[in-house]
Amino acid sequence: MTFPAKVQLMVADTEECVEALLVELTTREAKAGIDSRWWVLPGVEKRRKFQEKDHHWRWGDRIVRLTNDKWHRCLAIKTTAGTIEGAILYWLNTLSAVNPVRGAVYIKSLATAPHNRASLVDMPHFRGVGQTLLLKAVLDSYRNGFGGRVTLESFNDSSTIAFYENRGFEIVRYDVDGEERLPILELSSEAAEGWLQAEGFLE
Amino acid sequence: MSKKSEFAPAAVGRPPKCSQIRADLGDLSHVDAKSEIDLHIVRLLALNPSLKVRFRNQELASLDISTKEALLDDINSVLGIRPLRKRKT
Repeated sequence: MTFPAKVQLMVADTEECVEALLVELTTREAKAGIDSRWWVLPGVEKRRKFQEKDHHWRWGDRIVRLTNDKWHRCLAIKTTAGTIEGAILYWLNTLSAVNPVRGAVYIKSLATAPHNRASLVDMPHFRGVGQTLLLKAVLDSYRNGFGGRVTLESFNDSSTIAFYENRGFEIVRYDVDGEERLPILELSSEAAEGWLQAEGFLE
Repeated sequence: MSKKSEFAPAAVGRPPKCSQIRADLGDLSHVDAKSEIDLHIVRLLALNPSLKVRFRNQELASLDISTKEALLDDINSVLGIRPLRKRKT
């Protein structure tokens, strides 16, 4: 996988596909393109923005701590106009939650730009941003010899879990965080290969 | 799927637990990888210690790109990683 790489995004309004770039996200770009811009949403109440679980995330701070750590990857999808439409941060030196002697990519953070969230704005700009980023993590897992296995800790709401389950993830267990039970989900190597085949990456 | 039904996925944002991190892997922060392929090969060698015996004499900095690609093909073959195709769009 070399960067920048071309990806396709669907314009939500017209369902037309447009080209965008998958890029390595730098601290500078994260601060300017995500932290300073994503939550400027004209017409959306402040209260509603605060309800989004990633509203407090500061991508720039997350990345700057990892500057010299080569076991992490932080990728973003950037349009030709230069806007960042989603980002993902994952680790490559982690183990499967099902079989902890096997490697798996661990997704720490994944988010689509708020202006692409149908739950937040009347007309999202693009569709499929999160899925494209998730698929890149699966590809990287496969390339690194983990068979496409991907593990993550999800928010415990039915629509989030359904999103992952529809792509072959299974709930492995629940971890307790304060009063919250957070599902740990994993994509098995079999499910990952099936997805990569369906997408045309594997025969 | 309706135009409004797309769900925006998210992960919680917490780092993995210590028990989830491979303890046998060294810190690669000292590695001066000049390119994406160099870093990928370095990671593969670190993730799969058995490969180091076979490929230990490779000095990446001294190899040209086609030799690096051939080396990566060999590593992938040993690990059973099939080549990925470019997606048909």
